[in-house]
Amino acid sequence: MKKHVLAVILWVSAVAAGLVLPACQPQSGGSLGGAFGVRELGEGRQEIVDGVGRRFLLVPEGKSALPGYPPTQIITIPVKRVGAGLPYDIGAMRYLGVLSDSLVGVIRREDRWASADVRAGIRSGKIAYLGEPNGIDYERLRVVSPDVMLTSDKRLLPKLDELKIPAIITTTPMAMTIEERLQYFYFLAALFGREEMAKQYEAVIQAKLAEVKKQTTSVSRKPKVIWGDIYQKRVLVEPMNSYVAQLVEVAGGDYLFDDVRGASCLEITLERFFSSGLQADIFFTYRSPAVGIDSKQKLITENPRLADIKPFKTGLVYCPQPHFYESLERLDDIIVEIAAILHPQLYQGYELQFFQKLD
Amino acid sequence: MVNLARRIWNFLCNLDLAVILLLAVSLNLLVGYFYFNAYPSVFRPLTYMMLPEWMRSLALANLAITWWFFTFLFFMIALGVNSFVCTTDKIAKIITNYACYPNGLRFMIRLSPHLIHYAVLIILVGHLTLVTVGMNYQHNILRLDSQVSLPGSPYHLQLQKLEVRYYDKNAMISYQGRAIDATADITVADGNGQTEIIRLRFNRPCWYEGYALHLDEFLPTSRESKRQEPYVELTVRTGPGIKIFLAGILLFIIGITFYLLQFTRIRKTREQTI
Repeated sequence: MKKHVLAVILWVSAVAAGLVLPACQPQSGGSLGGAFGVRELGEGRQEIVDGVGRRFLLVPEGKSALPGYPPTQIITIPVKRVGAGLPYDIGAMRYLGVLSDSLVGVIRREDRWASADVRAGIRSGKIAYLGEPNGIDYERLRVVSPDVMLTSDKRLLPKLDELKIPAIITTTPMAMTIEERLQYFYFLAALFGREEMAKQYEAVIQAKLAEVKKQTTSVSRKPKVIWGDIYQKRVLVEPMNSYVAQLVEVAGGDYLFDDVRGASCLEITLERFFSSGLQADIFFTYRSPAVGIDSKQKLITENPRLADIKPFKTGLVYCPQPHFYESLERLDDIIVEIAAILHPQLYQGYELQFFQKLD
Repeated sequence: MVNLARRIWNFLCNLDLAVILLLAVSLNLLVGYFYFNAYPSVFRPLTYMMLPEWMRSLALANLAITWWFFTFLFFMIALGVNSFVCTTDKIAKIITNYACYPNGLRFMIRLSPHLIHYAVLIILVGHLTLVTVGMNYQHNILRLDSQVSLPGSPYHLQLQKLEVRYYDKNAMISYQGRAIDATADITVADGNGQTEIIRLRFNRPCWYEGYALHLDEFLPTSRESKRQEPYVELTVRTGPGIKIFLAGILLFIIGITFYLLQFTRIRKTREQTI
């Protein structure tokens, strides 16, 4: 009887392990569907899904649309005029080689952009200033009349519908993973007919992820890392499903908010923050000299409670440089930089490009 | 033919089968847990897409990842049929023996656990209907200054007024000044110039001409963001699922009421014995 029970348990375990094993090595990139999914519909038509699950029909010039899509969710490709509000949309367009020709309008003033090409474009009038996130200049938007508006702000949808401008949401309700970042490139590339560039991008990033992972597996100790910010009343951190947390893990770090899952910059309790903060070796904060924080002391002055966590006593604190947010197309270099911060002994002589140390 | 039907009935009306199916469902869910976490981009859309649409566009295209969902559906349906047959079989016997019960109350008390089983099945069917039949329209953004059409209808919606209630200074520091609840007054206009105002709150959806309107998000969410343009985001659903679901809940309440009544009767009997 015991033998039979053992046999059944072994059989069930073997079957379960066999079934689960493929899930332990998830595919990355490409288009599985879901947020930023791309689906071929034949005759060059494609269906893309934006960050919040809205479906758009992409129709090649001269071809007819298919039924079932609202007019503002039908886009003629390749897209020639784009308005954008998010720094990483700009970065991705730059990688795809369409920034200089296609970007016709941005949200945010010239001095709030770090990229020289965007600033020059705004100055020369080639790129129109469309207002601020909380105050869009709809009149100007109507005049500029982009083929597509890339935005994170759902509030714009009814107004853009009125103006008959398709609005694509390029943020997701949950923090974006590396997989979604790669998928996002395929999604954006479909608008411009640059699928080959997206494939190339995925290959570069995958290769770099593998290389850094290989390089950092030999380290004897994984530095403990936290990524977030503490404000007067709130604590916001990057969850374990965010691409930055995944990058830390790939770069041979131990991400301490590995039980926190959800939206980007997710709110957690002060106690939870401190329980990890007391152990962390490295603290990444989004507060930088751009908002007046250029030293650990300034952060402590703003929030004295930070003085108690380990990175402020014996560890390290880093913040992004202004162009970081507009450089996410350089994810391969960012991975290396995070690895160099975590394991300086492996990357001697490395000079920081995207982050800066707060002393 | 009758013999075959009886054999099938007897096969389905089997407790061993129920145990096997429960184990299969558990194992299936365990396997699914790993796939669900490994491929969030494939499964996350289930929260906003209808099941047939998800199956067509995502599940069938990624069968190597989603196969467990189909087996799970199969096991759940089999378990549902098994429970239905077992419960019906038992109820038939109780009804046949109606004369043996001293009164209607005793009869209902005996029937009550089986009514609860039926109720759970109806609730499950309601859920399945909810995600299968009808429509689920997301991201309906309403503002004070523009109208949005209610999908597939002649109605237009516009935000009339948004009242937000905030935590006061007696709340925990991190909550002070943040929104607790919002009440949105929405104008519904038909094509003939007739308007009506409906009121929505969190957990207080509204039925309107066969549409279920749910408040999803709103702004301002704190006193600090009060200067930003207010808006509400609605999810609009149609379909019979909710009604089936509510019917299941009603039956569940009836079942549980009679089920609990037996305890008062047991206590009374004990007291009388003492």
